[in-house]
Amino acid sequence: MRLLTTLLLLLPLSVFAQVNLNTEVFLVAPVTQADGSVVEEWQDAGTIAPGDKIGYRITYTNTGSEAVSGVVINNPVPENTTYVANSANGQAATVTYSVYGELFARMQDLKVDEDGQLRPARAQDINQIRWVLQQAVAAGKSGSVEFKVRVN
Amino acid sequence: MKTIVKGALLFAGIISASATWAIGTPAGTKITNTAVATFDDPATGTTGVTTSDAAELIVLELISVNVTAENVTPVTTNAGDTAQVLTYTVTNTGNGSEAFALDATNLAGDQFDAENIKVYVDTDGDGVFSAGDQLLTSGSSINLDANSSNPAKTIFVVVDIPAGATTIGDTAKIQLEAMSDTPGASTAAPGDLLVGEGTGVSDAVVGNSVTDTASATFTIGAEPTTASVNISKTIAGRVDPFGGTTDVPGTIVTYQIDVEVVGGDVDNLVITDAIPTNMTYVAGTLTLDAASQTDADDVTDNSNVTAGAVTVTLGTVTSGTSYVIQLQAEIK
Repeated sequence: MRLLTTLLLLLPLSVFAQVNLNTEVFLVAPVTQADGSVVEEWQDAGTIAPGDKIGYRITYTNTGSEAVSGVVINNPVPENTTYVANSANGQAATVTYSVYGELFARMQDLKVDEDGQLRPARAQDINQIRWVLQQAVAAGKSGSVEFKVRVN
Repeated sequence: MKTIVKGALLFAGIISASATWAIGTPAGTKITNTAVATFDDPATGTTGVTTSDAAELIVLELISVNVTAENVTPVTTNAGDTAQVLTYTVTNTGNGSEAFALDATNLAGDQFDAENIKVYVDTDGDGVFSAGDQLLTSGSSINLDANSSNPAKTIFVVVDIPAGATTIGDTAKIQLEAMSDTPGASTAAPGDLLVGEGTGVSDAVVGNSVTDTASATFTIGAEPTTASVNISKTIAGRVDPFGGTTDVPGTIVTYQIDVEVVGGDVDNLVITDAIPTNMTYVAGTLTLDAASQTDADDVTDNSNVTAGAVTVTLGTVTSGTSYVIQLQAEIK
């Protein structure tokens, strides 16, 4: 909550920002193809219920006139959902995760202290996802990152 | 730094996450996603921040129910028994408040059918069928709130066993079915949307288990038997003062008491025989199974003779055991 408040305070400054973000949500459903194979399709998320898999696609656009570097996108895993393992990806982006929202690392480097025993972090431990774009975004260009969660 | 360790706070978070998983996100919950980007702002030379619009979803009601039979082994009963009880648990495994119709029926593939099947709700919540429990009339339903502290109810199916079901080992299978009362749910396929039928939210989604059943079994056991003691007293012989068998003063009468325990074991069996008026016990004549007994109340044996009565303490006696007690008395 404090993070959100801080962001709101910063909002007036961001009128100069050259990067726009747009979040879209989809229902991720397995669809049987004509050849019998099953492929996940991202459909209109009109209705969701517990157990459904939903996908978020975050599109960034450089609306300014100059290239922007150092773009980092943070997305907390929404409440009442559980991150789906290995579902976060993005073009030319390094994906890291956090179990608490402060420190980020690759999934295989995350450890969780459970009853004094260190164990590898699992997908359900993840509460924030971070994409670090490896290259500058040229003026007028856009790209997207995405991840999936399951509704608890 | 490659290793990130978070202690108690993280652990607590995991616990709560798994707790909500069991029930499912309540119907009507809004799921909001907001992304935040930071970047090097070439216009100001500082770090720019931008947030996305919030993508929102409303969780619909998921209709799902589970029925579990609590009697995992057959319940032993007997022909003609009434108000025999099978116990089931019905749980709302969806995420809203939902009414479920309950229906108990005899299943095929067994040897007899139970009669007078009734369904009761464990109203007092003690898990035991008792007088205060509410009878559900046929076709009526119970309401279970998946988001309450107790999304489950104990259900009793109470039946009578037909008088003709006398064959030991014969079984009757009884099924309890719980079915969502929401219009259209019972005939819908998992994943179907029931528009306008949600609880606390516009629509409902049919879960994988919109109807569930479980069955339990009665089996005919051996007739219960009640332990009893058969006792009879007879005159085994008499000798009058003249060597004959007339009943005159001075005639010695031999009494025999036959004791038999049947139908089960008994404890603390005590045989008492009052000496008839006008007769006198002949000292030293008491026998148990032809073995002489002392007249005194001593530890030698469990027999005891007082002025008016003979007492033989037999204690715990197993079923089928019999005893013969004899004693003599003289006509005054």
